[in-house]
Amino acid sequence: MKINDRNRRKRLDASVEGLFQARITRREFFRRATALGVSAAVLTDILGLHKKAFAAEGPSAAVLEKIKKEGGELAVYNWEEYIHPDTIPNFEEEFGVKVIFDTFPGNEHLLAKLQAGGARYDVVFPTHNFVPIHIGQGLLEPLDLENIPDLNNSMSRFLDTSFDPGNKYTVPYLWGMTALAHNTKYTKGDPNADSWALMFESGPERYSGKLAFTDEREEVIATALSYLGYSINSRNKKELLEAGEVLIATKPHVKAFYPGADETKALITEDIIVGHEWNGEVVKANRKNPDVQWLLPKEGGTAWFDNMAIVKGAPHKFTAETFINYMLRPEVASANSDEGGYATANKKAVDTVVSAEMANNPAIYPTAEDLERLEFLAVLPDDILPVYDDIWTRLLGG
Amino acid sequence: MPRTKVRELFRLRRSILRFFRSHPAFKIGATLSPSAFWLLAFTMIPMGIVVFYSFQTRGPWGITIFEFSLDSYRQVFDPLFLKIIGRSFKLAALTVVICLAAGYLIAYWIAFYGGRRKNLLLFLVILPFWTSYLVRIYAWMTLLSDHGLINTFLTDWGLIDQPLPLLHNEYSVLVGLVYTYLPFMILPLYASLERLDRSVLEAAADLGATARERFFKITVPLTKGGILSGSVLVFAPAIGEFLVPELLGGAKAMMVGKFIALKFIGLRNWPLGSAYSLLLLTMILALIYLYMRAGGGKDAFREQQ
Repeated sequence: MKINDRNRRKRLDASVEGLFQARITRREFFRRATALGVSAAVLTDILGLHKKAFAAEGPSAAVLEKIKKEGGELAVYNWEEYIHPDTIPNFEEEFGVKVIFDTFPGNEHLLAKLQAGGARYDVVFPTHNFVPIHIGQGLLEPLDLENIPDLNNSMSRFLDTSFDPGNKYTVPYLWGMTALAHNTKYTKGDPNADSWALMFESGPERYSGKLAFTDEREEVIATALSYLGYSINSRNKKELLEAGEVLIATKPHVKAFYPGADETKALITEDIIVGHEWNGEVVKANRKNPDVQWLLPKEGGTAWFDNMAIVKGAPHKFTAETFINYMLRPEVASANSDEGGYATANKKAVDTVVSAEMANNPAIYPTAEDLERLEFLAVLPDDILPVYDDIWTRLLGG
Repeated sequence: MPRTKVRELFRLRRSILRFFRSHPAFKIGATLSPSAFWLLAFTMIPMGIVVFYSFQTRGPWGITIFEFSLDSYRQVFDPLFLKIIGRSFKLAALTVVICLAAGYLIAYWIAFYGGRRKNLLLFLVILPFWTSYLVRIYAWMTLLSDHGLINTFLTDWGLIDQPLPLLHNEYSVLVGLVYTYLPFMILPLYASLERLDRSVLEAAADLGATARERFFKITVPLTKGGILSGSVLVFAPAIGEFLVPELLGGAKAMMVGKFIALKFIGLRNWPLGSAYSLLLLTMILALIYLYMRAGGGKDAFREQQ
């Protein structure tokens, strides 16, 4: 045995012996009492009993050191109203990072920004059907999965997908569906109350001027494709043009194509009776106005999941990975999910932290039956993009 | 330093300065340089970049490949573009007309009846610019929406049963445009009205001209410069306006700004978007040139001096 080990052994033997001594010297007494007191303090610190809800164990000194060496800053580019207000401040406090938080209204804005050179941001949140485009253009930085051990908290459905095999670049965040919101005070007794016809047939007749769509091109065209019975990912030009005609015919009765989350307010104030919306927004509107209900029509709807990714050339890569791992904590994931009204892709959160009220709400977590009707958006191929753009421009500009 | 040396240096400095001051080229250069720099850095170079991009190729997924191509110019003649230009032109022209009518009234009132309060009144005209532009547009949405201030007021007082659809149509876009660009019309009009020689009006009155004759035959023609600059200052930005038709128009009354933005962000075709931008710029410049010619051209500007 080496000399250090031998000394350590001797000291250990001595202290063990001391425990069995009947008589304790005063010096010994004070030594043990201090040790007990100190360990009690350290224990409470470790357990974080005085910290706020989101801290599990404090980060190790090595992690904090690495973060400080990178600059102690992080730039996050996320959707609007898509994160719990305490998430970022708690992260800032726990890891000693200053976070710059910006929002964007749509995937195309994010893609345009990264294509134009957006290495100003570290963490971004692309939707799944844009991830292959980002990867193909080399806009994302490969993840060092050793720094993201909690990746396996995620639902297996969203891991190792065809959009990002092996999760080399992205980590799933929240997921949801896009279909209809309707105000049951006015749509009660409507014969089309379970179908897209509520928007496209009853809409012009009974709720003219109180219909709304989002301003996401693929989603809006998908509504008409669903209504006509086609796949939302149809690449057939004839089907797409037909869908375009349906939308153009409905346009005179549409109040507006709302950007971002503006439609939620219109639903709450009852400016809109039937609206094409993301499920989280409907949940948020329902909290303020219980008449606003979610409807997944019998013909189906679109499903999507958002991801966290790191921009290529990001200045704070390690901090970004630490942030992504922090977001995978069950309490954090659950809070973000609750705030947005969207389902979290974090299985551990659903099993342990998410409330029964949320988990059993079909507007947030679709039932197995719903999942049969839902179709996940596919990547929009470049060659059919002009057709989509032409339909969209004619729809808005006509 | 010895006195003689200092004196020599001063004489040298004086002769250098005299050389620079006397040469006309240097004089013009010195007065032009701030504006020349501004024009170069913030107008010519960005325009140059747009022209450059319009001759490139669109690569897969929207990346611009730097290879010469005339593809974008081949695609630029889209009937939909003309329709949208038509709508934008109509709305911008209406904005100019309304701003002219309201703006002339306000500028005239401030110039002739403002008295000691002239500066305060002008300050009030400019004050809205100190608030965020986006906030002001949202304020209009709050006023005009179905459950907004105006409709709530009217329904509460029993004047109407159903809320009026004041928002999300071309009329609300017009309201937004006029509201945004009115100060751009008031200020040049005020400038030229202020410079008007009142004695000319007095002379006309002495010679028997009625108030109406004085206004239409003297005041208006003499303020032609202000009317022209105000109109241009309102028309050019109004036609390219993006946020007002988007928010106040419910994205239903597409104007040319959104059309071009869609080419960049939606279609991810930067060369095509640049080509459209240039086409739009050419059309507007041609329009303004014709307008200036009709309005008296250079003479109108000489009035300003």
